Amino acid sequence: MPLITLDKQDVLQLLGKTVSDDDLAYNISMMGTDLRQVKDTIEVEVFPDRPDMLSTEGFVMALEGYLGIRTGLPDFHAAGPSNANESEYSAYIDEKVATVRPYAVCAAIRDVHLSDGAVKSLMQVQEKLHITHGRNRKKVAIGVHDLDKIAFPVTYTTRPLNFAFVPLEWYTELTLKEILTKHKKGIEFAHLLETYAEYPLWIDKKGTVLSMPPIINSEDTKVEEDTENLFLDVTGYSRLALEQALNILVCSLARRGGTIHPVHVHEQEKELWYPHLTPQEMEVDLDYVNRWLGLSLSWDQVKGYLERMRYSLKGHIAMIPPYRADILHPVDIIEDIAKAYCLDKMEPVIPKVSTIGEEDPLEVFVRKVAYLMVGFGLLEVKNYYLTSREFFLKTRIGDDVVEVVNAITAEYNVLRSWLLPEMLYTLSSNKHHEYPQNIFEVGEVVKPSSKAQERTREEYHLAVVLCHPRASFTEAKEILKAFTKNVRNPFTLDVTEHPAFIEGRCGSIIMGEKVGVIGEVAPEVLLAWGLEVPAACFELDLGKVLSEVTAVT
Amino acid sequence: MLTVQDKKVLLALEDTGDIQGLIEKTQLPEVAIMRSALTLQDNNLAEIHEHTEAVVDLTEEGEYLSQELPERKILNLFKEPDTLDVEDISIDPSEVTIALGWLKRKGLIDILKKDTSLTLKITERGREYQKMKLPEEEALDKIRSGMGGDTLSPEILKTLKSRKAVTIREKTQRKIILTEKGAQKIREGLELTEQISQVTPEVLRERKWTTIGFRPYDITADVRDIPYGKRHFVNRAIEYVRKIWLEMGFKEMKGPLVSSAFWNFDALFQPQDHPARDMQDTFFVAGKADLPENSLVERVKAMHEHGGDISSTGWKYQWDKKEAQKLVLRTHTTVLSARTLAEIKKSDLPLKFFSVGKVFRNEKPDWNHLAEFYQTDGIVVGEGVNLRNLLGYLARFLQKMGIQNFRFRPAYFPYTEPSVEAEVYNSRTKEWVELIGSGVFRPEVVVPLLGEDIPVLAWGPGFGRIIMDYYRITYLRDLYRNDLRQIRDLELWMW
Repeated sequence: MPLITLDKQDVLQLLGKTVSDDDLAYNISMMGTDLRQVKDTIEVEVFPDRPDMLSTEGFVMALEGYLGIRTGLPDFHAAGPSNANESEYSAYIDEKVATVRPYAVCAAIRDVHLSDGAVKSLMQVQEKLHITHGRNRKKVAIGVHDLDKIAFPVTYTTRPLNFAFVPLEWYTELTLKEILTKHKKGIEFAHLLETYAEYPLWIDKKGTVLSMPPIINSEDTKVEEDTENLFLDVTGYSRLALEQALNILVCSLARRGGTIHPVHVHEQEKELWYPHLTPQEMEVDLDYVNRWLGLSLSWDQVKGYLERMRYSLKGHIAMIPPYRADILHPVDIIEDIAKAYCLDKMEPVIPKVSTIGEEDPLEVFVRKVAYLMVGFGLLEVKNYYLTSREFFLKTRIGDDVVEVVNAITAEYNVLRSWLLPEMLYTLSSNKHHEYPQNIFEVGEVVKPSSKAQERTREEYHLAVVLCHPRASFTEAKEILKAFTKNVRNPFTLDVTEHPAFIEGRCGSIIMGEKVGVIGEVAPEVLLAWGLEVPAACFELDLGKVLSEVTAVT
Repeated sequence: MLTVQDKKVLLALEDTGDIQGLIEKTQLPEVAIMRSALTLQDNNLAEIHEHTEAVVDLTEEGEYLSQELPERKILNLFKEPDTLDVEDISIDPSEVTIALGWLKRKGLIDILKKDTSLTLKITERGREYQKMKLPEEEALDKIRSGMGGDTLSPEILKTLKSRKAVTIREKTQRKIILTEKGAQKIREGLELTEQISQVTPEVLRERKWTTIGFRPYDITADVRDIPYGKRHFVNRAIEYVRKIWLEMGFKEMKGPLVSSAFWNFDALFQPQDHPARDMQDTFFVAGKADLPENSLVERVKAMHEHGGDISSTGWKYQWDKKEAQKLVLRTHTTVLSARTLAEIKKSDLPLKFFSVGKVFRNEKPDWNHLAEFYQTDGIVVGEGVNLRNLLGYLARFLQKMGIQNFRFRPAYFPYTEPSVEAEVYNSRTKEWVELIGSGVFRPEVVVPLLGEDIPVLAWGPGFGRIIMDYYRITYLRDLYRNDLRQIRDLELWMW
């Protein structure tokens, strides 16, 4: 979740009211953000479904509603001509962008005073939108420009790689190709463009470049300290995501006092106007609300709660603020009602739902076996499911294991298929403690299986390792014998060979079918683990044992 | 709690503190005397004084030398004349050279050369020593008479050692001294009857205790630490968590650790470009999963693309089957809840399910982050269950986990709406700490799986932090350190 930092004074100034730190902390948590701290700055993690709260202004619009300072739908409207012929600002979307970065939307903002707080907020929301909503600029990229430096109409098109302009934070012209190899931002985001023959550009009537989305803006239309009029461009792959990002930006700037001016966008045959600030509507079903929340709210209460969440309610229709990108279904509105009601004040109640508890039979069996092992004086250890292939090689177990393709470290690159290797690791890290070290583990292991839906299957294993100066095959077999007596299922051993065990001291455990293996650990394996104490062990599949046991009874 | 033996030794101490003396007096072996002495010392009735001293033993050579030194033999040959021809010396020739060496070194004779033979001349000093003992002779006499090494000068001991006449060893000498309290105890009088120590079959058969009684033990004395079997403390906690759900009537769900992305993400309405599906967060396994029956896949696809046939907008993108076939290590046990919803029949409602299982996150593991941990999921499915009921179950779970100070606040999960986080108050840091992610499943999740928009309450907390708090373990990784001493020494999970 993105963490944002807000200047508390800036927030309070926008709220127009003094609120104590404790009240801020409580209400910020309860309205639906994850508060980190309230000091001179307010640090919150904004939930990924609420990109509108990534800007100070968007955050304040939510908070002032929650605190009851300003409630209901905020008033956003586009000023200026609404008639296509009279538009001051127009943009053309060239069809050449279709295969590179197909969609673009834009808007103009006038008379915004970019105070310190406003600039910081604008930079923060742009950066955070890029990372989250924009999936690191792939899905959505934003450019902010000085409106007065642009000659309309502007065109979103592509240019060949030898085309050149002066990018931001550079003082000479670079070709588009050079930007990807020389400019810091170009290097960082080169992967988003480098496969294309031409790169996307915004160019104005005079041929001035505005930006090369999604990489960098141009120096020519750079926003300065005294800039009051802005042009916003948003490009990417999902029209919906672009419109949401644009609305979040224009609504934030409007909350700072800017006026929104529409841009006439000519997209081949389509004639579009941006931004779209008309509120989306969604019907509210009071019965559904009350059933979902377990409350009995009246329409008046629901109206009040919705207004505190910045909706307006017209009849039974909720008018959704245009910056909200997260309202898919009426349950999203129900959640906002619950937030306004305040989860902290909601009384928990356990329903009278009568059901019968039931445990998985294998889990029951495993637990009983584990206590049996405790009765044999064995200490239980508990290792990770993810382990290292190295552990298996060291133990001379060459079985096929399920591999993780993107493990960060070689420490965890396979799923264990045996318990024994990690148990030997356990012994090797306990050499400073007294002996005997007689241990057991019960746990799931994973094996490849081409027939299974998930191409893997799991077994629930029991492994016992006895380690002390006189540990022997006989001692391990005695425990195995006592175990099998307790599950009323006799066993036999078939002489077998396995490189992990001493030849002539290793057997397959047969209980109906082969369920496991027993043996004295080969000295080469012990020494590979740095152990100079003998160890005898057995490992078996409790799932198979259980099915044998239940078959018998 | 003195034994009869202890008392005997105590009495003997009135006469002697010497071990040898005590052996003679008590007729007990030295080990028994020392054991009693320790007991007496523990009770402040006696003190054991130890000092080490050098003990000098004569070697075979030393025994021989102590009869008569070779230089004495030659010295005795000098009569009236001061000179003596070597050829006239009638002792063992092998000794002559040694003797001459010592005599010369000690300045007792001078050696004069005459033609080819040697002539010896006794000195003034030599004449004196004809009448008195040489230092070696004195020392050897002392050693033979059993006097300790402490009475001999280091120089002479060195000389004797170089002549291989003696060996020197260290010996700890113990002396046991009666304290004032011990003397007092004796004055008060001591009962010297025999008592039973170990209860043996013989004692029982012969009813010995009726005549001689039991020796009281020092029950405050420490005993050794024994090795013993025990379950791992994390499994104890897991067992307890399972018990909580079972007591509340929940049925267990099980399912595979390796999951298709379909069940792990798509069935839970997580859009395919959701950041959680990134390589950074999720472990992938090579291969392609089989998806469940086609109609279910189609319903999930429709829900993602346009909200299916319910009043949802969906995510408005093109859903890709290949993305859903990727294999992942399950990132949450909520995947089991989704599978369960696809299996149950509406006629069986209401139903409650729980699971406890491993989940995996592709984080770089360090002391406080693990690549895998346990999660316990629960779902309650039924007409009429609601958000307040969700809070009810969470509150009960928290209380049963011993947590009193908690609250509920909004949260976000792609598959629940409303979403709720249960937080616990950390009184040390004065902060609310996230503990349980939960919510009511979105209709976009429930309808494709169950076929109808029925409320499903769902939660999926990890509980490693609770175990850590309970056992005062600072680092998450220490839950799986597998230090045998730690597993053995940690107290039981109390609830």
